[in-house]
Amino acid sequence: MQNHIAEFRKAAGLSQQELADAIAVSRKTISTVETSRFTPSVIIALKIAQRFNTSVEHLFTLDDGD
Amino acid sequence: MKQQDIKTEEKFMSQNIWLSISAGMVFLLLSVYSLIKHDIEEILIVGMSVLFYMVIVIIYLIKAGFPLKMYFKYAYKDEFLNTIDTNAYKHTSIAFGLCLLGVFYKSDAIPSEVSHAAMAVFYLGIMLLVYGASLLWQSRD
Repeated sequence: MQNHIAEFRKAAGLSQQELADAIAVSRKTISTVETSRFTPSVIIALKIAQRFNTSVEHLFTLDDGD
Repeated sequence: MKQQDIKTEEKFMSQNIWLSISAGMVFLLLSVYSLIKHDIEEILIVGMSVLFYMVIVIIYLIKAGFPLKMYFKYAYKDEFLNTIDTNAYKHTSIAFGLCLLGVFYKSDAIPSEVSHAAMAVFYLGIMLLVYGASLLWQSRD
């Protein structure tokens, strides 16, 4: 699964820590989700989408192997 | 979930990693050291070194405000920290199992002078080292 969180975050002018603070998770959560090393729960995915006023489908895209 | 809770958990995790690794290394060194014959002076030096390590750790825990109560919590509130903690326990269990298998198959090669206490310290050292190393590896950026 790929995601566009880093692009949305940079476009919004936020650091990883600021995004983490906004949705009440650790900075490592944002860092590892952005690099696709950690797949977040639906709750975190929805919180991130809500923060960027977009849908989860715009943030996350499935790979062929998923 | 409060952001302060997350900060506390992050702090606890980073300190716990280094505490586990350092304690694991001390335990492993102690268990290896106990296999070699020594005179009383060497034993005193090692005893003092371990005591010094413990004093340093206690000072560090007090100065750095180590959140000791976290040890009594079953799980992390932060999803990522909880996941890597669970994975670290799995890695620790596997390492412990492999150690037990190794001891089971190579029991004849272990000198009879090796005490149960020395083996227990060895197992503890392996478990702490694997737990800390696993957390360190998983929490890399």
